[in-house]
Amino acid sequence: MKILIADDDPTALLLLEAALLDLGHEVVTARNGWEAWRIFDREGVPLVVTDWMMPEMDGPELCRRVRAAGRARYTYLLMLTAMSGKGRYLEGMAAGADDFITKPFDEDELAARLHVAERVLGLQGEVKTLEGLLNLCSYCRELQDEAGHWVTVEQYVQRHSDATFSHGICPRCYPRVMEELAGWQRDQAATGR
Amino acid sequence: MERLEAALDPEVIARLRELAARSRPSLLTSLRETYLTDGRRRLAALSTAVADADPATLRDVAHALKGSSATLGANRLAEFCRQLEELGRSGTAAGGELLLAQVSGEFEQVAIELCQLAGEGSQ
Repeated sequence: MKILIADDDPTALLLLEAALLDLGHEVVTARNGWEAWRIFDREGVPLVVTDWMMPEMDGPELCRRVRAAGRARYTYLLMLTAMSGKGRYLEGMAAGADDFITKPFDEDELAARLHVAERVLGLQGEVKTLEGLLNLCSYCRELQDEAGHWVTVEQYVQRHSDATFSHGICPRCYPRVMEELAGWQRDQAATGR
Repeated sequence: MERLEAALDPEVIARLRELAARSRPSLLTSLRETYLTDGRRRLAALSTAVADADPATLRDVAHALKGSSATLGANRLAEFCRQLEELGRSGTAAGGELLLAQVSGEFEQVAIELCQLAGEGSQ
């Protein structure tokens, strides 16, 4: 997997690069948040490992920019931090980070967290594939299943997940349904007369 | 003065050796050169910050040197840096000379051990 790493500490950057290469990843390095953002903007990597405190642009700001970019493929953001505490954790999460790892990092822990990242990115890729393959009727909105049969969205989702449906009326449909219901009641009253 | 413990954490060093053996043998030399070059620059900045009574720079530079030192398992040096960082965070650089001397002395000890380590790795 291609991983972008950002750290203003050249020693930590070198060691992180070596550890990631050892785990079989392709690595792109940046010495601060701004440099990382420019690389991300140009190349769009699936995973970013970033330090928290950096000159030019810090880690949380980098996370916010990556999230705001809204790329089609999800970007997994892993923050490296020497700082601990709930406040920092919440601030990082609010900025868009997916996970944290404490500096100096432990290689086994780094590998484990990267496995989680790959799993999440893999699932996201499967969802995208599924979206791309589904054949949806433009008129009645039914879906074609694997056997080629046309089924309702409810049938399809219930077959392919643990989800169940409850039925309501969305705000957009509500006026139309109410109008139809009133018409039906008028017809019933007329027939009864 | 007799030192009871090595400046570099043996566990961290063992992990670095393993990583170097698996990936590239020159890793230890690269880490040593990178750390010492960066560290000497930061030591000079710390010295200036203490002389100029600049607590904000003292805090930031000490924090940075603490991080890179901890990365290589230089835990005692990281602790001295943390104390300098705390001094800066308290809004003063006064009295920083003694801590700075401790940081400088420990840094030289770390440099000696790193040179021995990288020397072994290049053999």
